[in-house]
Amino acid sequence: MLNNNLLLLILIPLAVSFLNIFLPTIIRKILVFATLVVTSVITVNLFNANNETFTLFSNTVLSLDKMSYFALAGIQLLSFIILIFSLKGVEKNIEKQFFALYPLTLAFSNGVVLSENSFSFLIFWGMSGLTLYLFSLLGKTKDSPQTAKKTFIIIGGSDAFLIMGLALVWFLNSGNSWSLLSTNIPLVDGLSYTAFFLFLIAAFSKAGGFPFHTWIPDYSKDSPIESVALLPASLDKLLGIYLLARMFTTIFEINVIINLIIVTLGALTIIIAVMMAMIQHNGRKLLGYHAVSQVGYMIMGIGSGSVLAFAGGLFHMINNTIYKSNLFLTLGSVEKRTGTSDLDKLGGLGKVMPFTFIMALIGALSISGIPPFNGFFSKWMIYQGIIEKTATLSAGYQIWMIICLVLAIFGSALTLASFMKFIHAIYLGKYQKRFSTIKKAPVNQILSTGLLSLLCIIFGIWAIKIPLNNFILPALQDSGLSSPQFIGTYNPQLMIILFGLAFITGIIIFLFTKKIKLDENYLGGMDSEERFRVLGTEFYNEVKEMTPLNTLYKWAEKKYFDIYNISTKFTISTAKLLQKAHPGQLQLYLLYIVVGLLIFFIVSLK
Amino acid sequence: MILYLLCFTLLLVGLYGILTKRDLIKIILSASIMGYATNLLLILFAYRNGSIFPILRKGVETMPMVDPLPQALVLTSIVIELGTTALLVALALKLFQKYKTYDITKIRKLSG
Amino acid sequence: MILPLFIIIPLLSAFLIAIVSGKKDNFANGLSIISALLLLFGAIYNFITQNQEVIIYKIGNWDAPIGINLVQDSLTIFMLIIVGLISLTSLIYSRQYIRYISTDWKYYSLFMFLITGMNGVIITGDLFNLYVFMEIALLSTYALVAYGGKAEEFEASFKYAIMGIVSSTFILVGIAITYSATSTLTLAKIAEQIPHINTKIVYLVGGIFLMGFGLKAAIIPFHTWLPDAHSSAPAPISAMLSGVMIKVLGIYAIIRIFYNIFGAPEFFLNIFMILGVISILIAGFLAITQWDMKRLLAYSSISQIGYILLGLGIGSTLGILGAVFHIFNHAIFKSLLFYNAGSVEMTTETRDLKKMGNLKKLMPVTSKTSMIASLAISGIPPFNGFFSKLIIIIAAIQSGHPILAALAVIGSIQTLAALLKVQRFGFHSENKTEVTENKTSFGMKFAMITLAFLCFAGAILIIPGIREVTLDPIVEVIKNNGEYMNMVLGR
Repeated sequence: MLNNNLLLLILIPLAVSFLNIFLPTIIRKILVFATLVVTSVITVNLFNANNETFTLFSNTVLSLDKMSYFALAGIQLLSFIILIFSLKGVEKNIEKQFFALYPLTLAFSNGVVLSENSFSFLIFWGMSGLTLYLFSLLGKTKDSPQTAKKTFIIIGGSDAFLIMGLALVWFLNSGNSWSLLSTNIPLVDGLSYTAFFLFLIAAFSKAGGFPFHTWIPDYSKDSPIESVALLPASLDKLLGIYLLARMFTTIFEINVIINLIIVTLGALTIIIAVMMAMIQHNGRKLLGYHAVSQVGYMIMGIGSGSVLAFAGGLFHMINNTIYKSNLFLTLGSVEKRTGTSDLDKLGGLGKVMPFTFIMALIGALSISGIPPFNGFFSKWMIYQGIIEKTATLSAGYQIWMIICLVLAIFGSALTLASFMKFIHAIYLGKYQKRFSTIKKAPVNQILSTGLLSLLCIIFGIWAIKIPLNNFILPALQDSGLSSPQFIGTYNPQLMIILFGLAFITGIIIFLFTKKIKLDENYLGGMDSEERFRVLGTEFYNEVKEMTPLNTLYKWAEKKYFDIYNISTKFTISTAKLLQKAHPGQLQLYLLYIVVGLLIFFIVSLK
Repeated sequence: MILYLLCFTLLLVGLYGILTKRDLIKIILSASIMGYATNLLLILFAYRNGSIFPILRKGVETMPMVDPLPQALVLTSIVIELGTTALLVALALKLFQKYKTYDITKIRKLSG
Repeated sequence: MILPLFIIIPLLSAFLIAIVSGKKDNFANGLSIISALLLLFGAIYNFITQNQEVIIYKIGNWDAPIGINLVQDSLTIFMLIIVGLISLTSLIYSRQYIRYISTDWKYYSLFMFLITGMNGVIITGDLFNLYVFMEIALLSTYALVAYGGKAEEFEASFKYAIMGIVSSTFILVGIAITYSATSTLTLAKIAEQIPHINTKIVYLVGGIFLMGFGLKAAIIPFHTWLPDAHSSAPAPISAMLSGVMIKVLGIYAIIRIFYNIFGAPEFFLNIFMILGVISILIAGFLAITQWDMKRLLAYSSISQIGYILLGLGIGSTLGILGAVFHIFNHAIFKSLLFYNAGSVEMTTETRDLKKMGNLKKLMPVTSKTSMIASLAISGIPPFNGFFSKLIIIIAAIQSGHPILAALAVIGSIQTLAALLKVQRFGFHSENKTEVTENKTSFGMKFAMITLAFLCFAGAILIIPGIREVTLDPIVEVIKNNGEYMNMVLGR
């Protein structure tokens, strides 16, 4: 039993995590590192394996197909790179817990993607949510207890919905099997739609789709930055989108209306989150909103019903985990050196932390969809797939689809805009004297972010060769989708040449017409004061003051659109009414009893 | 039948007392009244028309007897009621010490 | 262990404590722990040796209709184990906790009477006997709720007592009517007679029993005593009340009467389902807004009882399995939560969540165990509560009640929200309290850690091989309701 590779992928990190409870920090680190080496090796060995399964009580519990292999490989890769970042620099007082939780998270995430059986899926899914809560309890900010609570109410609550969804699927499948891979429930009646939307809630809460995304920005702000890069930026995306992909391939049979609804939700996620991201003053929160916004593209891609866009969605999932964790980690490096992630207080760090600056720039360019970085091609595939799908729809649906597509492209432009702000606010702008003592980031952090940046480039230039042909297209075939007719028109070499030419032309023009003179800022002959510094955060203040956006922003800041706050308000007002029914008066209580008895008799007479 | 109805009425009287009276002692009394009504009901169920007490004696011919079991139950139930009432009275005294009132509607620190 | 010992041991120790103890509580505590230990091991011994048979002990060697029978089947042993386990940990916990209130033996004596009453209810095979034992348990809890001697405690105790008396009186009326209709008080004999009597009488008696035992189980709308009493009682007693008593006097009695005697009529099952869901939702709402830690836990007890009732009401094998498992799980984590609350109250001298601060550092054991219990009660894997809720929800869907399942899911989220509130304000809050000394003693920690461990280990009961010997026989007892009658009457 113990020589089963799939089981080992879960058991080894689990065992290490239990061991780590009793060990000193340094050994914890070594053990976690060794674990990741082992799991990565196992994962690599599994590349050509077929029909690996693990059976318990005569049920297939774990199994591996190409789709789960894709997610599995993503999990090992990201955990490994983020671990390198965490080896040095995690806050001293949380280090112990951090390295006990880290392998735990890995074990449960592996469990989720390997599970074939609904129960094991549910258990691992819930437990990976639990590790998220435990990580968020390590947060040090003032709001972190509140954030931890909010996060876990949304995540744990969605687990409860998932229980019901799985039970409904089992029931609709006439109670035959608990396997997730062979259901194919047609969406015909109320029950099947309910099941579908319950699954959707779970997937959206985990990945951060509208309207269940609200925990991500808060979590990003208040939790240890390594855990932010690990969970909401990487693993939770992988798991949430993995579930979504499974829903659209093996669990349900999707119809056009559902496609449209999901694409709309995706577009809404993109636009709402990116609008919020533009006005943030806190770097972590800004990245948190972007983490939500990018999910919108994956949701659109997977939900659109076109195979090309589906592949694009999966590709975008892995791309997003790479550049988003890169961005979070570079911000983490900055924060660890300067002690703040507040964009108003940072600025001009490009000079003192050049490597970090370059990595962050690559991440920002990737997320904004600039070729040849990886973010471009996956978005491109999604757009093309949606256009392809639109062509097959009737006229009314076409307009709807096009509106969503336009919103998505607009969101992409806004992403670029807000990353200009982000990069400017931290790395550009006037060099500040008080940052002169700042050192470069430690080697392990540069190595980790460097690896991620390298991946951004590799996945951009050799997109078809490496990730698509090896992982994503086999995943599509394995889950019963036909291969897309064409992979979209994309030629990275041509792109690079074009962009390179444009860049060189720019430099040439700049050199020939060089008429500028650089000097320090001054004001009336004096050195300029701090308050005259150009802050990146002010770039989009106009957007914030535009009617009707200003009212919307005001409401958003009061959290009127936060599903957590809405339900809290509803709960409290209902409970206030119910509390009035319990005034401590004995006679009233006795009356309830008598009335209850009478109601029973009246009912029983019928 | 009338007897049963009267007995039921007695039960309702007790219930009415508990539901409407504010005084702690009256509530306790009403609870006792409910107890009496129940005991009476038990005895009534045991009663057979024209029968005698259920004790076998030498030399006396066996006759229809009332059911002895409910009478035993009633004895037990009376003992329980005694205990409960004693406890209630003690609680009422303590409540008066703490709240300086016998009015149950004013004794409501616990609510919501 | 022969059955009467389950009553004799605690009864004897109650009197022995009263006679022998001087002014100090050492002897009382020691003796009570020993007898609780004996009861627990006795129950476990019976579980191992039972072979899924029904054992009947005839008091005075009289046969069923004349003498009183004590009956032991799987359900009985299951309940006895729960009572033994929780009372043992509770007594270990009490050793220091009660000294913080007073140092005399009365507490332990009353505690032993409480166990006597509950064990009596569990093993008796006679309806009136059940009533008597129930009253013994109730009388001692009335006194124990008021044991702290504060104004609120007397108030809670008085209200509880009045409501308890009203319901007990009604139960006695119900017993009287049952007796007049069937001319017997032995449960099995009544079961035999039920098919022959008028259904109207069954409904009448059923309604009365539903109200009477429903009040003991704190089913909405009969729940109003519970938040007062459970939050006012000393912590170990709250744990006994919430963890065990509402299940023994309420749920267990309901199972025996409505399933084993009445044969689980459809009408009552539907009522159970509806009341169960109402309890889950209303109590869930009320729990979220509480700021008194123990009151919050008390309301959450009502909502968990709702789950048990829902599972019972579904009536399918799966539903009953979920309910039975949830009885066990809830006993463990709710008692644990009340121990945590008691430990916090002792250290900070408040139950108000707003006044608590960052207790995570000061009280690591309390904080960690309460985290485990909170996660378990909210149905987070891998803790035991997850599995019972899972089973109940699946059962609701399987039996064609998706709406009830959805409401149960919402209730589960409410529980999560309420318990995370305890975690957030109680243990991980940003305020700083001025308390510097953790008063939790070794005994209290031991009790908490034991139960926290069981929150993990309890989940193994659901593994197929183990379930077949532990939970399945109990489900069988409840499901095959005619079997009880046949077994007891020896057919």
